[in-house]
Amino acid sequence: MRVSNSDEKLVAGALNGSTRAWRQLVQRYERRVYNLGYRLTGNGEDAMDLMQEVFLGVYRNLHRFRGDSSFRTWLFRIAHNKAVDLNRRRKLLSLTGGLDESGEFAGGELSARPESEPDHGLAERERNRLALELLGRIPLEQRLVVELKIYQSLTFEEIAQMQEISVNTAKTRFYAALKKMRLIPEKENALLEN
Amino acid sequence: MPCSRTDHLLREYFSDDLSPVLRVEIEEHVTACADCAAQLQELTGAARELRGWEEIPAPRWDRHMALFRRERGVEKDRRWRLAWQWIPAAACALMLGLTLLNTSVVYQGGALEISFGSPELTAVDRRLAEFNRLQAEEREEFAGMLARFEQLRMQDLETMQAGYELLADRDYETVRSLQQLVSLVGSAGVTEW
Ligand SMILES: [Zn+2]
Repeated sequence: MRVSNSDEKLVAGALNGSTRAWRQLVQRYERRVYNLGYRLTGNGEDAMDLMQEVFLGVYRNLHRFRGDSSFRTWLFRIAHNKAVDLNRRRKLLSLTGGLDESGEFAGGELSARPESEPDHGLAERERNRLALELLGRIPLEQRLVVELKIYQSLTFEEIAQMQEISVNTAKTRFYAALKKMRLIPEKENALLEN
Repeated sequence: MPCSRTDHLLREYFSDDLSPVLRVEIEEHVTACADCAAQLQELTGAARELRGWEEIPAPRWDRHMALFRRERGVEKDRRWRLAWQWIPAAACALMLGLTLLNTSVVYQGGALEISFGSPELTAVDRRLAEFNRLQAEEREEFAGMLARFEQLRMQDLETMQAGYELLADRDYETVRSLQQLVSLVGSAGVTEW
């Protein structure tokens, strides 16, 4: 059985031009990044776009990876920034859609809503459908905090650094997101809507 | 009337740097406060639903391998160029090896025969041995000639010495005769010339 190389070794190998090291590094994280993309965008096509963007960012900045943080954290920082970029581009594309009252763009933003989901494979995953329904209730900046906290187990300190906010604000964003996603019993839900 | 501490306490409850003391305090409050208990249940329920996500396999894609090969493949070429630099050295080593192993390569009847350490001497080897033998003979002959020449020279020297001694003797005889003559003439009054 071959001993698996550390991320840092693979980065060094890729920087030396080893195609094998690069392939191994991508293989190790592509599924994780693809699922992150799926949860942030709510569909496979955008998830694929985001994944490609993320690994392109990794490739272009590989020489800048200093090992101050783990490769994983570094990778998620890139993923975070790429998701924000993608969201901004979507907003620009949908400028004709105009703003709604809350200041959010009415259309074009990464929705994370399973309704627009063309992927039939996902439909079979009922639990994923529910998670996407919950994530669809919150804006991207909160969705990113939830993603990094719940799925990637990053600390609020790391998340705060990525979003350039205080640790307290990161905690507040996470709590606010949870409140929006809470499972309100049907009766109570109906009561609130009336 | 809703609890005023809910948001503050639960926000802290979901943070990752919660101290054990604060945790106990919050849990004690939640067991006593229906508002906070209800809210906590809803929030943990949401978090639980999110954690139920089933991983989807990533679709097959190029992994930017083409880009990687194109841009970083330079390294590979450089390695090849380095390998080329070894060719002259490798050729020298090969030639040395062939020489040391006394390799003979013979092309005979459309087939190439290569043999190492052949016991038969090649034509070149035979000629070289003959040349060495002749050279040795010549050296021997020359030494003999030198010896004979030296012998003759020594004989000549001896002859010369003998001749010289004879000459010296004669001179002595001459001087003696002259002295005798002078004494004779002197006694006869030659000094008056
Ligand atoms: Zn309370």
